[in-house]
Amino acid sequence: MKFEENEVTKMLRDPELQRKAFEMIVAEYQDQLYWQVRRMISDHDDADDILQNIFIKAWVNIDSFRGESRMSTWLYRIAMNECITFINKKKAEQKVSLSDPDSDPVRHLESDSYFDGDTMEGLLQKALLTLPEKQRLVFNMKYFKEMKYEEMSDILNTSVGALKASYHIAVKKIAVYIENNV
Amino acid sequence: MKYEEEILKKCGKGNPFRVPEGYFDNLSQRIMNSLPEKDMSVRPLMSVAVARRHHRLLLRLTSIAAACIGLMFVIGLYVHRSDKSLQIAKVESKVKVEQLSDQDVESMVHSSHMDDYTLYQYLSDSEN
Repeated sequence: MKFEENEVTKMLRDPELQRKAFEMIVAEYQDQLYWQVRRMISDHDDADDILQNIFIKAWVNIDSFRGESRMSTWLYRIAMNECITFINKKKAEQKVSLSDPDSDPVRHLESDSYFDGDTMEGLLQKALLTLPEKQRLVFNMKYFKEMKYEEMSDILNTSVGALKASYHIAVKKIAVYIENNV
Repeated sequence: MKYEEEILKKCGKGNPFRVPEGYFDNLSQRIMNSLPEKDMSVRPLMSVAVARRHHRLLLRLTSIAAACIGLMFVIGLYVHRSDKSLQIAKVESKVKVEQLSDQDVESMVHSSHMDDYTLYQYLSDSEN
């Protein structure tokens, strides 16, 4: 069954159909949100937890979605907030345990059995982990998702100009990292 | 863009991550099962028209509440001023009511905002 956003938004207004409509939303967006989160967080279990939190938050706040923005924009906004909250929490924990080798995100990524680190795609992923999280977000949205700056601006609540600058800086840093680590 | 092309050429857009086997097969169900039950009294989404009606009603109620507060303030002010006027009347009554001219009484009535009977009572009491 094809996902028609207008139809699903109408169904959300009906308490009898709301859960069914939400199930359709989950089915439509679970994969793309998972991969977007996974590229940000790297670890599968963490990405899985975050994905569940995203949909729980969306469900709890579904009455506030009035179709003024696209469903994907609304969900991405929740997803990116969840990712940033998770990263900040992780950073705070790592400050407490600096001696833990797992606190180095690149080393942690290399030890992940669900990650193929020997490929160029893997090297790009490692390069991404060296970026500040906002730049990583912007790079993922633009490079992998080919999202327009205007949509990114809606999701991240940042000006188009700042996003463009952020992307250019990220791209340059990644190119240098790859050059030095091939 | 030079650097972007360089990255694309060297790394492409492939995905180096994998997921446990069958992960996506039951993901929807698992997510749906993890959702909290919604309160059965959950309000359906309001239509724009209903929301506008509610907004107008809220505005009206707010205006009425503001008017009531304003009225209470004015009444309070009147009572306060009346008390003052009565005090003045009492002081002046010591002078002797008989000495007051009709004009004085008229002016007192006007400034005290009391009805004639109340004013009469005060003036009479002050004589005793």
